[in-house]
Amino acid sequence: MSSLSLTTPLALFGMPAKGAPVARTNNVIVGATTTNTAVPDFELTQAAANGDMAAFETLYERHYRRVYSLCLRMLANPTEAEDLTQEVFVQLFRKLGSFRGESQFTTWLHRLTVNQVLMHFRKKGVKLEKTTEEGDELNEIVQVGTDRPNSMPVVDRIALDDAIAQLPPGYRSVFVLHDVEGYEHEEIGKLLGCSVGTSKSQLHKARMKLRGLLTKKS
Amino acid sequence: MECRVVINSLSDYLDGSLAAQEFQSIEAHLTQCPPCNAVRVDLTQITLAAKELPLRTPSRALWIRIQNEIEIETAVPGKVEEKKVSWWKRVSERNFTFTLPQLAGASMLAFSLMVFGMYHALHRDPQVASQASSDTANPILPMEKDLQFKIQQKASQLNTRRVSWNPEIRTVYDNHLQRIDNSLSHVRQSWVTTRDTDQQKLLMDLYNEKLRLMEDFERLGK
Ligand SMILES: [Zn+2]
Repeated sequence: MSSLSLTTPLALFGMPAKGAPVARTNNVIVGATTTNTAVPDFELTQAAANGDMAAFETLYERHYRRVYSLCLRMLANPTEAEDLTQEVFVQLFRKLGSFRGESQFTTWLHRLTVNQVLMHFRKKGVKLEKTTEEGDELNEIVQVGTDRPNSMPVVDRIALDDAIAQLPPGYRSVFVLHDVEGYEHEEIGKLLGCSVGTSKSQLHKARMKLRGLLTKKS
Repeated sequence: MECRVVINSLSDYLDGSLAAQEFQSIEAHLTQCPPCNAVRVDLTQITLAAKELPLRTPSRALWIRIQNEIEIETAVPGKVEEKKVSWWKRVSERNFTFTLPQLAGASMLAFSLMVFGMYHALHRDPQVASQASSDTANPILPMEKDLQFKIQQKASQLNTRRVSWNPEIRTVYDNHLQRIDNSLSHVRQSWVTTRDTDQQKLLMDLYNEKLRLMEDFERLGK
């Protein structure tokens, strides 16, 4: 795990401000930032629910990059992704008490994140299902394949990230959820409020469009 | 089998969600049709690369923002509204209950701390500039002076505006500012001794965070 030297700055941030209203019941965890992998997420959520900011900070340290990456890939906008990551962790803090540990914490947190992103899309009036320019797109992409059978270079991950950002939001959401995050179509259908069939066809169009984008690049 | 049909079923084929018969007829087509097979290879590459995308990292100041937001919430429980957009908006929308004299003392203290910090930031510059050629004990980063100048300008604009603020807003502002300043001076000190690039990045993030805080509160007065 490449956690960089993040523990240092975070520990600095964690210094209680004068008159900080948050109770610190279990400061021991802060002292153990480097070895805290031993403390299960569930225990940390319980401590944090009782106002232990050090426990919450540890949860943040463990999960913020995955939450941010998910937001960033779905939104394709770093500023919005940071704002939403902030919102997710604030929501998380509010809801900690309701986490009973029946599912994995990461699963729970990721669903919370996806829901926040989708809510953000709805607020902005982003339509996830219909994208107008679908019509001839696939044919065109197939043509590219037919003309130049081996035209796509070996996919490098940075190029793929860039290409994902260029997808329409609907394609992007399904692709990120399925191919990056590993969600099943049934779950995606539930989250996005669409059928399994729609999720599948959106995913296929997303992949084909990505192929087109990655081919054009070379 | 038509190429178009094969291409349209490729994702189902790759994800293993085809019935055995359809799977076989597509596989048969792929072995004979290089263009379709090329698409299969590409889509396989894409799905494999997607599983290995690296994690991305947000600005290091994000934790401060989250902590601030939570602090505001826990300070006035029951006043939390789900739909609030940002913490400064929350500050502006809240019903304030403290009286002016109660808070005047606290905010004056915080304010003088801020002025003190600013004084030091400003008076450090010429000294550093004059020793720029040698290895100074107090080096300065390329953008630092610029940011400090911007912050100083914002501070003087805010000083005239803050009289119109509600006292609690002033306290909230001062507390946040003080927290950032504390972190700033710690990180700066640690950077001066270590010259660590992570610390340097964090330092710049903190300056920007301070500027952002000021800009947020600037909007309150409008
Ligand atoms: Zn074919």
